[in-house]
Amino acid sequence: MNSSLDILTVDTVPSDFSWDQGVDKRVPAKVSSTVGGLPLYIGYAPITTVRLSSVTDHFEFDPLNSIKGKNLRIVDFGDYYNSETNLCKALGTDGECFKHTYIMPGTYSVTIYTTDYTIITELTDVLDSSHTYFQSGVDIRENNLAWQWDNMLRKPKLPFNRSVTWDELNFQNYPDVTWNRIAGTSLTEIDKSGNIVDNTTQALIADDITTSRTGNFFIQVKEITPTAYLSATMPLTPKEYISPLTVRLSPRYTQTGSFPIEKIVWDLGDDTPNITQRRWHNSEELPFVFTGALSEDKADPRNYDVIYTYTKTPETDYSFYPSITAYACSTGTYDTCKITIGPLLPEDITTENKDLKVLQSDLTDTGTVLVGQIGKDVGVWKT
Amino acid sequence: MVFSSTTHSLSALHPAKFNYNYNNVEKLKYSGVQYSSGLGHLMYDLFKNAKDIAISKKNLLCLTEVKDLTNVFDDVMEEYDIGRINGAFLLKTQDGRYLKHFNNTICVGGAGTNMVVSIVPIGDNIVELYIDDQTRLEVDTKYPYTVFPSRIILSPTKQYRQQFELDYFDGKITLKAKTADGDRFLSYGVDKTLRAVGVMLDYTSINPYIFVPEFITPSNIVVGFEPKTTEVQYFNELETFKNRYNLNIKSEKYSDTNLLATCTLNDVVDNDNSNINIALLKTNYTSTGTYVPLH
Repeated sequence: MNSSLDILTVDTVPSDFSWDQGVDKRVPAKVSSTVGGLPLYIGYAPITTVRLSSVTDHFEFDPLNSIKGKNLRIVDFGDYYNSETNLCKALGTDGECFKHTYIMPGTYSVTIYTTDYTIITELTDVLDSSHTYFQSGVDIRENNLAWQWDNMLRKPKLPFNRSVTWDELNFQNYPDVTWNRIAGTSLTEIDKSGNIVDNTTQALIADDITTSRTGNFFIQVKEITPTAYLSATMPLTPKEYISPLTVRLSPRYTQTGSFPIEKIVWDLGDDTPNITQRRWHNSEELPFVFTGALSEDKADPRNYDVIYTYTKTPETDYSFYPSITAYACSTGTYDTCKITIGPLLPEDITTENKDLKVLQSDLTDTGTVLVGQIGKDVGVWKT
Repeated sequence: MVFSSTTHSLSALHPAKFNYNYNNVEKLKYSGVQYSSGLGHLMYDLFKNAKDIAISKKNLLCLTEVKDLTNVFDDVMEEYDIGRINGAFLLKTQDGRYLKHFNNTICVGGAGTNMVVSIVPIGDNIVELYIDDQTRLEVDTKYPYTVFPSRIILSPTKQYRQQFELDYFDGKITLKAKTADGDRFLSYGVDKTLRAVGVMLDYTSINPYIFVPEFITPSNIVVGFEPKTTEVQYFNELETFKNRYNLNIKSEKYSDTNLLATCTLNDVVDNDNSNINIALLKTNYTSTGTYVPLH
């Protein structure tokens, strides 16, 4: 028994999307190429929404022998990032629509699993406290715990039905927890002693057959990268670029791509160690200054300018090139930009103003050493 | 008498640079000034308000004022966080669940013992993660990039699968792996299995990738030296035989002195950085050889 899997729509954000803009606008994803003869739908992070339709052949059952049939379809969107909604289930053979949103960049394929259950009776009719019903066909000691766990979420309206946590369930300890095979969106759980933990209206299953089919298409999600931008507040005319020059450097115009900015690493361009402004730990220490430029997202590293003083010394060039590297959340994709500060004019003070006195000099084999005084400071020079 | 004179412009004079070299290169504190006349000047804090400076017998000598050594040397204490040093910790999520190793799978919470992760730095914040002496964590080549324990030593072109970029700050840690889809943070989804599938947006954590290390070893070390001139008084307890060799510091009082800085002229001329020697002078000694009473 097979189920079809066809694409209804693939919507995504525009290719010029920026996280700062929000997600108001969606456009159809383009089918730009094929992989192995199958269409490749190309969308953009953080939102590429796929809608699929599925139809299943009708299940035949035998009412004369009290055998009923149920059909379960599980669509696996192959998304381990947005995994909460990765699996969609449908009970029955009616035409169904499945929907999922991909957040992260990657190439995905979709698989539908169709299981036909042959049910001999309803579980509530035959439950016996002396029985323990194991799930068959799955060894919980193996690694494929993922989708079993998903199945353990129960209907919230039933008496014992609440979402159990991994730690509460402790179901790695085989065989402390056993459960009946599912025949719906819920399940019956019976503990090791045979006590019914959750008496839902489930079914005993006589037999089941599962078939799978992978969709005849691929979904590719691309990332829109951030664009770093650094601005500086400096005097208007270059004549005023006199050392030491205090400037205000701002990353506020850095453009987000698919994801918010997670951190900005600053290289102030004068051989001092890099400094970092992180989303998950904002640094309030100087030279960072909070601006609140992005009032709706106060943790954004772009809210922090840097106020810094550049000084022309004998060891530096006349210009400085501070830079920032802006990293996106989740992918760490980054962009770098730099800006020019300068050229700085040396301090507008002549040595006459500073009372320079050469006190003594001495020749060596390779040069001359001079000692002198500038104001109250002692200086040593060589030629 | 015949002599020749050579004229140097002020810009042709190069400021001399000095280092103090004892255990290592201990940098001296200084700032630079470039004047519009072309003269450059390195102002060493050591030389500020110097009492005298002179050249004698190919040596440069400078007698300073009474100085605190912390004002003479540059910041000499450097802190190295985990990622640049080895260390071990238990790793847990921000809601307090430990990472565990169970049946060749790294899980969050559940059965099994808490996984001790040992950090071995191999580059600037690039680390290998060991869970025992021979087992490293490795990221699968294929999506969903499951993290698993591995005892295999990979070839150099594949070693990136066992290397992670660590970012540690303020008690929080992220681990980033290189995958075929780009860099991905280690995290976990609904199945609680550790994979390179972290997703965090502005205020939404879908698969949270910020972990909290519970350190077994120190999280950082501070290296360097502490420059100071202190007068230290000791005493030993003779009352019991057991403690007769133990010297305890009774008091430690800061006692700044004049300093005598010396170096050879050849060193100044021939090297970009000249080694300078700094001697503490007996400023606080009385004529009888004892310290002047401190106030």
